[in-house]
Amino acid sequence: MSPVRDVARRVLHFVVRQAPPRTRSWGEAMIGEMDHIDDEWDALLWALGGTLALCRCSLIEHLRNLRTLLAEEVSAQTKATHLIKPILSGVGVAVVILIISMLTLTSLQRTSWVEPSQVRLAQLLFAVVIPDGLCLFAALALWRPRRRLASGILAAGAALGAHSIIFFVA
Amino acid sequence: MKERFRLSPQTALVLDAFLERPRSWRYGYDISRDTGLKSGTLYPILIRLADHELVETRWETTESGKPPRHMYRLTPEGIRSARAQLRDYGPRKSSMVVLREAKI
Repeated sequence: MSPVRDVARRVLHFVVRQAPPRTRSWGEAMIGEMDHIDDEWDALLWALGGTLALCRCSLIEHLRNLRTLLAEEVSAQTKATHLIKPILSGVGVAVVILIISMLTLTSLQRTSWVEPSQVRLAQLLFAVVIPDGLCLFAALALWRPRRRLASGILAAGAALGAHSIIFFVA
Repeated sequence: MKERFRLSPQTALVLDAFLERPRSWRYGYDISRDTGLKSGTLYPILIRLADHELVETRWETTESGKPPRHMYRLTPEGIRSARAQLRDYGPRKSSMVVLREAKI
């Protein structure tokens, strides 16, 4: 093998090794074809042309893969947002219900409408029964049309209710 | 077949070369000599034609000591599409003639 052909072959082999798998088989085709070219300089030109073609195809392939990867990432993020957003909204609704209920309880305790003996009952009613009842009602009403929102309300209602019950028992 | 691709004068030359012997297998160097296209221009075209399933490929084992050669020919869909595309390409055929004569 002449030095010219040897250099051409080495260059093409190097580029083929760096190419993505899909392009690599085409690079091997160019190498195979080069060995059937009799003229040394034609073989060198063939290898140089092949090198340029492979670089171009590899770049396009890498960019295409990158675009697919980015599109998949964006799609996954969008899917996660679609999944989490209604659940968080549900939690927000449950927290608002509890805050309104607790504010009502605080206001009632400042008035003379609640007897001191009934304070514990009022606390149980406004901290557990009413907010949890409202959460349960909202979750049941929203279960069919907006299941994820309902799940958020139910989960937050259950957690807040459990916390309040533990507080009262302890 | 995938969507119709843009037919450049060089692609038209390659399709034209294939249509001279539509069902024969051709080597890359053979097409290069027929069209005057260098490997750097020819192979991206062949890759694109293969991606569009207009060209099929196979490896041919040759005499000992030489690596196998990659061969190409138009698929039946490729023959139909090439004929249709070159027919539509008619008005711009002069650029093909220029390219062929210049052996770019």
